[in-house]
Amino acid sequence: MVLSLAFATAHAQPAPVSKEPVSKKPVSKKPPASAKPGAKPKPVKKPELFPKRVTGWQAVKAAQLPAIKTFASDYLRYLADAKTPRRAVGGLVKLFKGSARQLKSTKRLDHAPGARYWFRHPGGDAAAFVTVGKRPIEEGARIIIAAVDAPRIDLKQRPVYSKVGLTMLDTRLYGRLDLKSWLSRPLALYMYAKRRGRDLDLSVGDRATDPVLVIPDLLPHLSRKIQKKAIVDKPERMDALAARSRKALLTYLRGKGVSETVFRTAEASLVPAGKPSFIGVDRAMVAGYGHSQRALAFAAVRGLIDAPKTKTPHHTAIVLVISKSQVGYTGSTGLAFVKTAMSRIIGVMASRGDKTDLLGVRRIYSKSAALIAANRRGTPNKGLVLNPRVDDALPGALRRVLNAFRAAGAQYQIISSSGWGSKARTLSTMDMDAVDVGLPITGRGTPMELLSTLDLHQARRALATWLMSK
Amino acid sequence: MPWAVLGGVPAMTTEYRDWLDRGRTTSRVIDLIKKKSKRFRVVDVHDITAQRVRPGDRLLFINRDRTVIAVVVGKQPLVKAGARLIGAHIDTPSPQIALSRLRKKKQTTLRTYRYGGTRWHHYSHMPLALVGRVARADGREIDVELGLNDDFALYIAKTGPRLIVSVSSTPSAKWPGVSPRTLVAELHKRYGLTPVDLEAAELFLVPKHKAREVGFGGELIGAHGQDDRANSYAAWRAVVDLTDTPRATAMAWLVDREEEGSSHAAGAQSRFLEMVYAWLIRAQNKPATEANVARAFARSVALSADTPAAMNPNWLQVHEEKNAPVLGNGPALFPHTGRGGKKGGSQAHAELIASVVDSFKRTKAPLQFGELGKVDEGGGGTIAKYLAERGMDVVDVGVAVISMHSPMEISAKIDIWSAYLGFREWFKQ
Repeated sequence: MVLSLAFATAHAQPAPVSKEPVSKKPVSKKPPASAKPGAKPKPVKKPELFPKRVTGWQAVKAAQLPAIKTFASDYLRYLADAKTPRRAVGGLVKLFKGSARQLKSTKRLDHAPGARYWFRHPGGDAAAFVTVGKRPIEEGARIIIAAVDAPRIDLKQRPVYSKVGLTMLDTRLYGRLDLKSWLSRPLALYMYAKRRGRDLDLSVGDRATDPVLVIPDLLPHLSRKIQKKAIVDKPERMDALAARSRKALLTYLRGKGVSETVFRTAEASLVPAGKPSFIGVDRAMVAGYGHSQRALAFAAVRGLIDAPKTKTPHHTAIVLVISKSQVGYTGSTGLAFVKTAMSRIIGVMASRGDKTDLLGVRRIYSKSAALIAANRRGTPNKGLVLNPRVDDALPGALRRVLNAFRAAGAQYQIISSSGWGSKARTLSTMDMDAVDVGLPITGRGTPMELLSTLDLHQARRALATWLMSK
Repeated sequence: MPWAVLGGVPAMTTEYRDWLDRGRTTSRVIDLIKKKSKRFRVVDVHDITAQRVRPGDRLLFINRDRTVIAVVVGKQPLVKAGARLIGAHIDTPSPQIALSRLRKKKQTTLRTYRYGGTRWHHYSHMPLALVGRVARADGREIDVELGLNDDFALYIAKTGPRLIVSVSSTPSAKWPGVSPRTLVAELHKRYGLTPVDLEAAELFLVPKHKAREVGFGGELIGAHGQDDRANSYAAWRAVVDLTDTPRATAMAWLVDREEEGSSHAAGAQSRFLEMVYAWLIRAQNKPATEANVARAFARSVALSADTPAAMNPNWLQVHEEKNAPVLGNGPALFPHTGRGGKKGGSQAHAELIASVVDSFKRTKAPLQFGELGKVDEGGGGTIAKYLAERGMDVVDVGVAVISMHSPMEISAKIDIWSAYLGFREWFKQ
């Protein structure tokens, strides 16, 4: 009875944000004028309705620059090896597992506040990272969900064919690609297969001595007619040049243990070859493959890792890294993983009564709040992007997020461009307060997306504070 | 034994990849040639003091650091036997930086325009580096590079009629103790350049990636700039490796500005070739009259070595499959170029075609015939017509590439090797 009462009041009251600590250094307010003896008491200044806002790099102090650069360097190091969803998740696990233990059984955890644990989907391309909060899970969790898959070019099951003296690999597109920008540039082949029960993890093209694959473009001399309307008129034009002789290709693959049967069962894809890089003489931007959500996933997991031991999150903080965002979040490691992971977390953390009681489980959901990474347009250097027009978040849910961001001193931008595919709406149907959040990224769907190191820095602060928030 | 000289395909590949990686601009290629053409004497074509050349003498004529003629003097005087000349170009298409914005204090972005047949979509969303040459206010010229060997790159985000390249995004000089980081500030730090110095410069954006092996089996090379640093490499190496003195004088003329129509002081339309002919005729103790130069030209034969398009499997319908070159079947000989009814192209005489075919056959190097695309699908030109204009017989022959004019042009090693062997043999005839 008592519990269901609490359930009712939680809904009746607005989100508890009022006790949020304000930013350490208020930006807009001036210190009160020192009262000189004998001077007239100054009239009380009304709060400025439109205080002058200092945004972007203007608001950054020189002392902050090294931290921004260091974090960006860490991120680039992570991104260099995160070319596939499997590796992107693997990279985060590697970062996290130093200070956490792997959840192996479904037995109830003896969870002390501040303890960290993680588990990974058997498919490898989704994982959950958890820091246990001060309050029991029955009071809800703070969740961040981010997908780590990116547009790529998959190989078909029987990809090898020969034409005009060359051996080609037949491809199939995954996700929304800006096709023309994938032409005539070095690509790497990543392959994962299970062979006689063992992992076969192969990558060719990212080491300097490796060969690369190329999807050749047409020369301008002969393109005037056929590429007039669109550079790439159909996806069949996206096959990759893999060798001169078919034999050379098959010999190489066989040497690596990849027979034609293995090829058929493998996850094989072409991704841009080469490392991500700082951009500009000031190194203020970074360009790399698959920024869109990997940046948020990285920032969120680092938010958990970097929290000082003394600072235990109020609620249990959860980062769920998923995949399949490029194909509508379907599949077991798409949005479905949110449900399975939450069930598992609730199963090991909730008290016996609650986890068996459907109402108990639902209550945990309804008291939880989530941010989900989304692809959003926005202006670089202006911080995280929120778009209430698309995710249609309730003002209360949005306010809770914004106050966490403000508490972090992180900049954010609210846009209202039209769009579809808000996954926050889907999460809301699970009775969770959910808001979409994105990074302003240029060149989405191209092999090399552009991101500001300042935005990355803002994301890190904003997400870390969100995970700790009440 | 040609292997004794260049040491076979693997050794050639190493040298060729280095040539592509270091020769990012025309003047850098000239630097490489100066360094690597051992036993060659650099000669100033304007130096008309009593100089004599003997058969077997090896000379380099360089004009404006942009074009070079490598010469091995033949047994027969130039006026009598003419020369065997291979013309190729060492410039390559890429975006070029508009100088207009370099004088501004705030440079978050720069504008670019196209040098040659550059395609907008190839250079966007890719790590780029800046390379080029600056004529400083004091008149000295220096080569500059930015990003090629640094931990940062430049990036083109917006395409369209003008490419906008991001160079910096932090407000300059905002932070005390932190020096402003703009393009010009960076160039000043490295090379002492000022905005005034940068008023006269050619700055190109090139892909940061180096030449790579393409595909399995190690038979293909992918790199920016192979049009036409592939044939210019083969032609230059063929001259350098001539062990015996040829009958007719052997020349490799590597020109600049081919991608912009060759009308340039360092292009194939310049009279530099006439100057070199006149210099050589005088040095062989003959009067350097206009008539003698014309006679020498009329007795010369030339190959215009430029990259044709090999068939691209993804776009087969633009090619004529029976007659288009196949990557890896040897350099392609084009009996005719031009568009439509061969307009604006050159049509080679059968005698010259036969001599080229013979040379390749004798050295057992593969050679194929080809043409550029289907009739009326498009077309392109080479420097052949500018050589022919001088009265030389000329034919187009060169290493074919796929993805021409892109950041990753693909060639076959065997084709470059074969061009080298064939060119060398042809010089000897």
